[in-house]
Parts: sequence; C-alpha cells; structure tokens
Amino acid sequence: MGHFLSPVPSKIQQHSFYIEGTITDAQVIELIRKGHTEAYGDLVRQYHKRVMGYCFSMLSNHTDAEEAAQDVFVKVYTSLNKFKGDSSFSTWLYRITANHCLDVLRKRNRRKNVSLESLVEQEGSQIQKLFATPSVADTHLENRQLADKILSTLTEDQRQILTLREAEGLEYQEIADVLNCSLDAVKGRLARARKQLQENLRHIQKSWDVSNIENKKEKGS
Amino acid sequence: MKHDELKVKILGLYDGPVTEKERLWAEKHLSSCADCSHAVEEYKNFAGILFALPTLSEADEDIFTNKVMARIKSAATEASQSVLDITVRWFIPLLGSTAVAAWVFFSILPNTPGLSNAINGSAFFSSDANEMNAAWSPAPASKSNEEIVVSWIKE
Ligand SMILES: [Zn+2]
Repeated sequence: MGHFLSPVPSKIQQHSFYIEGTITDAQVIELIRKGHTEAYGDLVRQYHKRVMGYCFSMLSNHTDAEEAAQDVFVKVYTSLNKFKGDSSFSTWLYRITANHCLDVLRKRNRRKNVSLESLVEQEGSQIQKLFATPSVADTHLENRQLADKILSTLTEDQRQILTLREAEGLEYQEIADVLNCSLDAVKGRLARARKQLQENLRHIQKSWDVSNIENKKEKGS
Repeated sequence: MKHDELKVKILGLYDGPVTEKERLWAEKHLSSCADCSHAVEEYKNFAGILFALPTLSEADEDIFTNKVMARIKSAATEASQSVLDITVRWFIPLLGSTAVAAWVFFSILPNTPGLSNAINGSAFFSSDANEMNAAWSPAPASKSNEEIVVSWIKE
C-alpha cells in the first residue's frame, strides 16, 4: 500500500527537476511560478500514482478515475497561486483530490443507490467468491465493479475516510490534515466507517447464507 | 466495554495513534483473544480486497502526464484566444467609433454653416470672445420686475 504523504520511492527521470534530495515540491512550485511551466510535468509524475490510486479507490472505474485525476491536476495547476504553503503540497493536493472525488461520487450516487438487499439478490454468489478466494481479488474489472457495489452501501464520507486510510495508508494525523478536522474526529469517524463496513459485509454474508439454504430446501422438496 | 465494541475499537488501537501502554494492551489482548485477532485478520483481508490499487506502469505515467500537460496548454491557448476575441470584437470597434465620433464633433460640426450656429447656442465652437460672452450672458430684461408686478395689479 502506498503512502501518500511520503515522497514516492524514487523513479527519477533524466529530464526531471526532481533530482533526488536536491529539490523540494516548494522549489518546483517556485520554478513553475517563475514561468517554467514544464516543471509541472514533474510534479504530475511525482504524484500521479497516489492521485490516480485515490481516484480509483473512490470511483472504482479506470476511465472515471483517470478523468478525475486529470481534472485534479488541471485544477491544481490553475490554483497554484492559491497554495500558500500553510500545509505541505501533498496535503493540499490530497485535499483537492478528496473534494473532487466526493463531488463526482455524489453526482453518481444521485443516479444509483445500492441497497444491501438488492446487492445480496444480484451479486451474492459473486461476493462469496470474491472473499473466499482472495487471490483472484486484484483490480480485475469484475472484482472492481463488485467492490464498488459493496463500497456504495456506505455513505460517501465513510468511503472517503476508508480510502484515505486503507487504500492510501495515510496516518491518522495526515487524514486529519487533509479533512481539516481533529485527530479525535478521525478516530471516531474511521471507527464508525469500519464498523459499518463490517456490519454490511456480515449482513450480505448472512442474507446470502439464508437465501442459499432456502433455495436448497426448495430444490429438495 | 462490551466485547463487541472492543472488537471494533481494537482496529483503532491496532493501527491508530496510541500510547505505548494502549499498544501493549492491544497486542496482549490480540495474542490471547482468538475472537478479536480473527476480527482484525478478517478486516485486513477484506480491506485489502476492497481497496486494492491499480497497477500503473511508467508508460501509464508518461501518457497521463502528457495528457495533463496538453490540457493545461490548450486551456492557456483558449484563455489567450478569448482575450484576443474580446479585443477584436469589442475593444477595436469601440476605439474606432470613439475616434470617428470625436472627429465629427470637433472637426466637421464646427465648420458646417448653419449647423454650428444652431447647436452653438452656447457659442461653444466660436473663436470670437464677444460672441461667447453674448451667448453665455442672460438676455436683457425689457421691463424690471417691479414694473411687471405693478402692471398686474393695475389689470
Ligand atoms: Zn477480544
């Protein structure tokens, strides 16, 4: 699992402004402000994986995630003058990413709301398979769609905080900085989101077991 | 604390910011309680599945970066194009019509016989100082105000 706020383990290219250990995000931003627009490409490369990973976890669809990640980087570029350095660049970038994905997700969820019951009915056996054989659980399209459906049973805020912690591996304090809330609020919100996810999964499991037993009885009689 | 509640909280103790005392307590509890250690393992398993990240290559990174830079470039071109559009559509015609109006007002009208007198009640365009004074001074009254009042009373 990647760690958003720590620098990417170096994949530094020849043309890059990032020469290991010699230039910081703030210095690259200064270069961009002075007119070296091309330096922004290095900033994009530096954070591409983490922004893309976040968008993917929130939106569960490669095309949507890439579009959202592009939007984020364009938005960041146009508001670079607003970045005052009160927080680290990565925290600021993450805040913009988190808000953007939340907007996309809210618009999307207005169109489709997943209930636990319909999920069990339609995808019960697939969900069983997904958790029974974790080795197949990669980013394969079908599994992603299923994961998206399961995560859609949570509120957008719950999904957001879980993505920050479980997908991106942010520390609690880093999550507090990104979401602009206290450490205690993060502890509470994360515990509630995890509990909700556990309960939803248990509910799916139980309902599937019950409907499976009923089906077997019907077939037997 | 009920054990069910503990099973939820143990995750926070397991990966959250805790004191050394809390950490030791959580470790000790997890090593002796099969229920809690199973819950933590189960959670880690399904979180790993649900929040799996995509595999991205360096080529993906280059393609992505190029797309972003192209969008930024085209947005900048559009912005400068719209400034040019505004200049061409509004500013240049405005400047032109202002120049024409100024030329008509200052050069044509004052030299047009008849027109200049008609609009120059104020002798605005006249170079003759007397004419200007005459134009600006009030018309001389033929009767004084007192004479007028007296004539009304008589009537
Ligand atoms: Zn326990």
